[in-house]
Amino acid sequence: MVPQVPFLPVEGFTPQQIVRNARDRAESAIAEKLAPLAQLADDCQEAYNEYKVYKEMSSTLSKVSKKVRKDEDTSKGLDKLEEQLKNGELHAGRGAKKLPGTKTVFYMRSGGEARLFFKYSDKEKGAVEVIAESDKDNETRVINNLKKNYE
Amino acid sequence: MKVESITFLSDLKDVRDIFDDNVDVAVKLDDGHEYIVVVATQKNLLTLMNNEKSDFLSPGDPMIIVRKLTKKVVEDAIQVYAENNGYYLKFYAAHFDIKTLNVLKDRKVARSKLLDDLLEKGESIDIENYDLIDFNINNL
Repeated sequence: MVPQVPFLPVEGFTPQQIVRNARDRAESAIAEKLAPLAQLADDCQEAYNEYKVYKEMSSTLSKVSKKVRKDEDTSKGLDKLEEQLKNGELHAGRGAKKLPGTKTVFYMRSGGEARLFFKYSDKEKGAVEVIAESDKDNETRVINNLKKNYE
Repeated sequence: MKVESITFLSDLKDVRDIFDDNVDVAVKLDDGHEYIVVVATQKNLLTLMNNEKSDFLSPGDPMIIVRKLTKKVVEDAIQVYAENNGYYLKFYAAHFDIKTLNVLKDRKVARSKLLDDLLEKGESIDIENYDLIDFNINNL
């Protein structure tokens, strides 16, 4: 909500000064209201920037990762998603989703084929583990494997 | 083409705004193959552009656009996309490397050229749609 700023003639001030003063007061009122949100955004950004990404794939899912990375576009897409995960940009590409049937596994999706599955690390704060990489052709297979192995 | 099953690869219950989101959906057709398509709402396109801080959506696979993300709407859309031998469903779910894409384009060019030649000679153009799977565009 935009704060109401009275616009009344003030003796001794030019109209330009009155307008400038009103604008300054409005801006500082908005800044004051938004300060906690801005602080929260900064904190989140800082936390996101501290993400460390490790690869923790089972041997089955490692093979799937190797296979799908044979496709150059998919490989580039996965690299980009990993970079965005490091930066906490979970809305990147088509966005991140929670894997149904699990409480801890999420996956990011590029606009193309790449699908990057990850979980927050139990061992280290601020770290995430990439537990699978897939393309769309292997997506269901990978999801079924993860559902069996993760809560 | 008959749709054997439709599976949402993320839970629709997790969708915060049914008018602004997208989901991966696995569709099994009676040809025995599974096709993965992304189903998105119109509003979500704008959100994706905002997320990218861009005035256009970056290149990506085509998405089926729906008004809202409900089970019924998505399933209805997929049934329609599966009509005509599943043409559009397969098209939306397809992924080709650039070489394959070039081969497909070349095949279309070669087929069109063959039809032109047959018409020019006054011969029948009653050729099979699937002729010219094996061809060499350099011989044209």
